[in-house]
Amino acid sequence: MSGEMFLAIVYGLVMVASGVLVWWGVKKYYGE
Amino acid sequence: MNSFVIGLAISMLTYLAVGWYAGRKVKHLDDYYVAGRNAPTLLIVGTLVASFLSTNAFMGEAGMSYSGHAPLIVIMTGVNCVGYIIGALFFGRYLRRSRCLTVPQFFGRRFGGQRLQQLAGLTIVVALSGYLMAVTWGIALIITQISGIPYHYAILIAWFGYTGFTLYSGSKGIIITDTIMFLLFVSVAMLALYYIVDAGGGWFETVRQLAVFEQKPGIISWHGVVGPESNWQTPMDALTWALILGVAWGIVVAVCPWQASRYLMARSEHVVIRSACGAALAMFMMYLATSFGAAAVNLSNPNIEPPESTMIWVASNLMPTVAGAVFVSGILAAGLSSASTFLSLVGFSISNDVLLHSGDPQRQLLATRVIMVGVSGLVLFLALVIPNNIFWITYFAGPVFASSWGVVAFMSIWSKRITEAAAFWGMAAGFLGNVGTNLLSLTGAVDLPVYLDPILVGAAISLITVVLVSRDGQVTDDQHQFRERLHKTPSEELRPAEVTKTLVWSKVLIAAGAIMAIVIAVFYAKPYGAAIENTQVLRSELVP
Repeated sequence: MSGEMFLAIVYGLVMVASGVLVWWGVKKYYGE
Repeated sequence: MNSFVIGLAISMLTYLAVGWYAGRKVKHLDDYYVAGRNAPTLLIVGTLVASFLSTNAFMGEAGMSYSGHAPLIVIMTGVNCVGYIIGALFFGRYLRRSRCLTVPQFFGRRFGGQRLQQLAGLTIVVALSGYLMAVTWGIALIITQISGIPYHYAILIAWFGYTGFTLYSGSKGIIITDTIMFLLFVSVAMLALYYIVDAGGGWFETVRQLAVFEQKPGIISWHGVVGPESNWQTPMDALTWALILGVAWGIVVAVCPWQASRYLMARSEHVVIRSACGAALAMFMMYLATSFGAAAVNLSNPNIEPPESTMIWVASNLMPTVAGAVFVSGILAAGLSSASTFLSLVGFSISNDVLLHSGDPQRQLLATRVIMVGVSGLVLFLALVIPNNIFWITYFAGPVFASSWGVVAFMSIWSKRITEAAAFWGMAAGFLGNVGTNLLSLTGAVDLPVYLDPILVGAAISLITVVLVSRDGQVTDDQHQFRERLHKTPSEELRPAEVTKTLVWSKVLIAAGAIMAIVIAVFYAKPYGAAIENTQVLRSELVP
């Protein structure tokens, strides 16, 4: 895999991880 | 009068009108300092991004991308944006819960010490006055460049612009003008990208040409230009630099006063979290567009000097007159929005934190406005008499908050052991550690490796100081109870409808991450790889 393709995937993963962190935080601190 | 000057005049008058309209609604101290604590998500996203991005984004960083380092700017931003999420979840929403007027006031109340509030206020006064001066110079340079107006007059115009709409309306007006400016510069950045790519022959042709661009080899490879003539010798050097700076600026966006204080204006804690998601998304998209756009300008003109004027060159040469004028107004908006936030924060800090004004709110409102006139006048005087030194002041003034405030901010929420003395000395040591390391590095006394960036050295010194001083002290009952109260979620924040709406933002981030990976792979990584492969095949055919 090229460095450019790896970077594309990492950018996506970082944003997905940020979304998961928000989801976890909201569930933990505010419930639903 | 050219079209750029007309565009500048129209946008300045618009901001002044909005500022004066919003100022008429300022009745109480809360309105002036924290916009009545009633701002919705769009306004908080607008003010977060507009306060963070200054003319530097369209000049210094765009120049860096044009010179061959766009991928590093994007990597740095990608890491930096995570700071919004961590900052909102682990500091910002607690800050809002405290219902303080300023961030230094939060530190003061949390630890029950006036000296800590005053110290935090002083760091704002020193660093942000410098930052305000640098932004004033940046705006003035652009005005001079586009209009030919002498530099000193341009400083006066810039000063009048941001002081005019900040003074009367305070935060109530700033969050509206910031949002207008945010929408303006995000739109025009996308418009500029369209014209740059069009001039390069379309998207895939632009990627193909940049992939094999011989004057700046590797300009859009994952690491950008590296080698003997670059600041970075190897791809790993470049990557390490981008990651370290990304972490450092991530701490800045999580706790620095011109970002965290925006959360004090949010309508609810859910607005804090939602706007952090929105800001992270907007910031990343924005930097992706401006960095790639600036690199692609090379296909139209690879010899722009200085590189910082790349975007002004684009406005003058690649865009139709009206679109170019709007683009320049957008770049100026980025500077004006930061300037207005800095001016207000310095004014608030002197009035509320350094002088510890505790009397009649109406008198404090008047006093804050008077102080802001004084601060603004002083900055104007200094901007006129001190030689322009944008780079070094920006280099110091922003990141110093990561060093001095970072550890104390997060530990004020999450540590049961941190004492008032530890917070005070930790903040002071972080500030001095950053300044001292910067001085040693800038004077050439030491040559620091990239992982010993002054921002991180300052933060480490702050952490060590906090841990050591806390060992010898005792947390008081008041400090303990204040922290306990911070961790009690107000009942109105538990409404299921609000929680569901906030969860939508987390799903938007997850979906955006998946889409972004596919888009970057299809529109950048694959055509880039194909272009490199074709060139290698052609070369091997030519060489017998």
